[in-house]
Amino acid sequence: MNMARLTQRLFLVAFFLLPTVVLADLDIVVTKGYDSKTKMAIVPFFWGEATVLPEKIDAIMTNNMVRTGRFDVLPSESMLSQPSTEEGVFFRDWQLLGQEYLVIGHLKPFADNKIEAKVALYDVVKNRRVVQVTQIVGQYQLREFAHSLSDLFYERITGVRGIFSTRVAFVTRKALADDRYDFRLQVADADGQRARTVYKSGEPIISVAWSHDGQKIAFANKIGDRWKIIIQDLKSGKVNSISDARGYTSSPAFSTDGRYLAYVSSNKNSPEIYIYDFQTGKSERLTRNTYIDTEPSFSPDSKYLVFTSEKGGKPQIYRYDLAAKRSERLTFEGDQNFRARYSTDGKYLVFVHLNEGRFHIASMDMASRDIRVLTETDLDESPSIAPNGTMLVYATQRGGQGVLAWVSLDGQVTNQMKSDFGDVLEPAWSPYLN
Amino acid sequence: MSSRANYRLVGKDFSLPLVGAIVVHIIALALLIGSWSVSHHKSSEFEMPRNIVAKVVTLEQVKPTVKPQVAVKPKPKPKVVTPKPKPKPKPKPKPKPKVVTPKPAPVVSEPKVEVPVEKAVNIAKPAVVAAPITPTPEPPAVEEKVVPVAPKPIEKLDSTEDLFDEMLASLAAEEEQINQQKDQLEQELARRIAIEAQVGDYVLVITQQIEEKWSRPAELRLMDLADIQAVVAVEILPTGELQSASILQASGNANYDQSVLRAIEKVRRFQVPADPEVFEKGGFRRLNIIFRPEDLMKP
Repeated sequence: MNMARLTQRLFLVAFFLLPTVVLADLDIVVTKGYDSKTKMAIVPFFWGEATVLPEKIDAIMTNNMVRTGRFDVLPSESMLSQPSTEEGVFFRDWQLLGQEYLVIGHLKPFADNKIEAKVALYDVVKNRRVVQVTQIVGQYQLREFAHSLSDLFYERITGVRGIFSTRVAFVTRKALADDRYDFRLQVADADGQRARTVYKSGEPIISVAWSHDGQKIAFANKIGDRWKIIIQDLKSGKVNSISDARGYTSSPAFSTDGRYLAYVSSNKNSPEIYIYDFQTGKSERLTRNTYIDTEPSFSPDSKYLVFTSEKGGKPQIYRYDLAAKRSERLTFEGDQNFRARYSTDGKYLVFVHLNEGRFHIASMDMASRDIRVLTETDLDESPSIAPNGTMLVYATQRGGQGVLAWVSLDGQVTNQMKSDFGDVLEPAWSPYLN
Repeated sequence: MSSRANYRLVGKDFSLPLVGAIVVHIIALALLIGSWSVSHHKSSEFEMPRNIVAKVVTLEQVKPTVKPQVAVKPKPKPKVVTPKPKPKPKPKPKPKPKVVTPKPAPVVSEPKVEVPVEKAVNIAKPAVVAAPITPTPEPPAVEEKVVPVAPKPIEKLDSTEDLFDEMLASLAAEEEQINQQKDQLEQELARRIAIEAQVGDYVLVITQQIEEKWSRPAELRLMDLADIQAVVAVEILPTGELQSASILQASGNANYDQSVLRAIEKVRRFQVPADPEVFEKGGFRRLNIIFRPEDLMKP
């Protein structure tokens, strides 16, 4: 009996201890995400006139958003209503459709054949307007306007600067009669539209590179039996070339301030990295060995050059310290690593990573030197990364023709484009343009 | 989970002497002493110390059974011996045994019984297993602590029938109360176990709800994600509606933090238990949600 009572007492004691254990806050650990696309509705913009506008802003914006690979845009047929002003926006309707963001626009004629556009972005989850833009636009600026709106909205939604107003340069190659070819250097909007030719040649054009202000493009052009680096000023159309006694130059890369151009010059067997100073007009040799050193690229602070070297037997990425005049190897994983480019903020390198016969795009965190494989592709052409680091553009084959392909960082091909001028090669995404 | 297992153990075995959890010894001891002191007042006439009360009850009700079962007698004696030397200072509880023995026959056995109880509390396991073996030194130590609390005055009570009946009645009442509390506790435990099971189910559902809505920033794929983590404090109404969400622990990456808040906001209505008691006791009103993208981290 005593023991029984004792246990009862213990029991009571235990009872008082229980609540602290059971009533604590609930912790929930989320270790994965579906990464589903952001659902967005872009209502066709209102235009009350009989005339037809040269561009459909909402359609351009829709394509832009879809091409990033992170937006799912609601087809207009599925909309319950198509408001063009704030009074017509009922968040509940859009919530029912599972939308997160809503874009509406109202266009009306303005003086001088211009258009007054009022466009707004709403957050349907938070039931509020994110941003509204009112602007007078010329009829032939509608495409630029659509791109800049896309940039603004993309940044408000993702926190990352948009790349819709940037450009893509690429080379086209068309076979002519008599084994001759027509090579063109073209520059298009980031979506591949409005391509225009800036340089033509009967000989191959390779290694296209943008200056950081987006004003110039450098590339290598075969002239006779030699390769020459050409610098094309996009505004003036002027063309310059760098003279090099050895005559085989390629892989140009501008420094951030535009003063230097790193490039590769070679005797047939041993390409080496050089750096050209536009101010002094002189070149300096940086690497000196019997191996192939190529594909230089400046860090955003212009203190380093990354490049590809076969010093270790296979192509790997090295970094050259311009002050210390010393290089160190950066990549050790994978069979080959090459075509390294810095991200705009300089925190990452993005490069082609070959492992077990497959090409990947990989990135390296410059702080930890850890490599992450981003995408696996069947492509063997090198990609060019968008300045915000969230997209790549490749040259690839489709139906026996070289086309441009846009790929998001998770590996989705979000858009493809072919050219009227034959195969598309060597794309190069421009920096941010202002 | 582990806590749940403990409760079950206690619930099933509570009737067995073995149940006494070592962890709660000290608290239980304090409770016991409290009750003894009360009994002392009643038995003030007795020369015996406060121990008497507890012993008396046991004797009358289950006098024979208790002794044999516990087989603790051996221990009591050792204690008694020790207390004597230090009557006033600490050993009060034990001194009583002697006094009791002389008068009522049953009482004699009582002292022994009581002592065991004390020991049992202090050293539950040893007492039950082999009382005789228990080392004498241990009991004294325990007593010392306990004794100071108990009233030292050794009042002598006349063992009248009335007094005895009164004692029995009060003890019976106490017993009844304890039984009620015990029943209540048993129900409470069963309820808690049921609640905990539901909590686990709902936690899984809510985790899934959030995972479906969590879209990580694309640029996260470029980064070295080691240890990136954000914690969001979420308040939920009993309807499951989100009341508030705020960053409790930032990750250091603003876009990442935005993505986790957004995931919570997109859920809108959380799947919470419909039973208000499960909701409250399960802690659903306030959740701490920890976001750690292990699927994006390097293996």
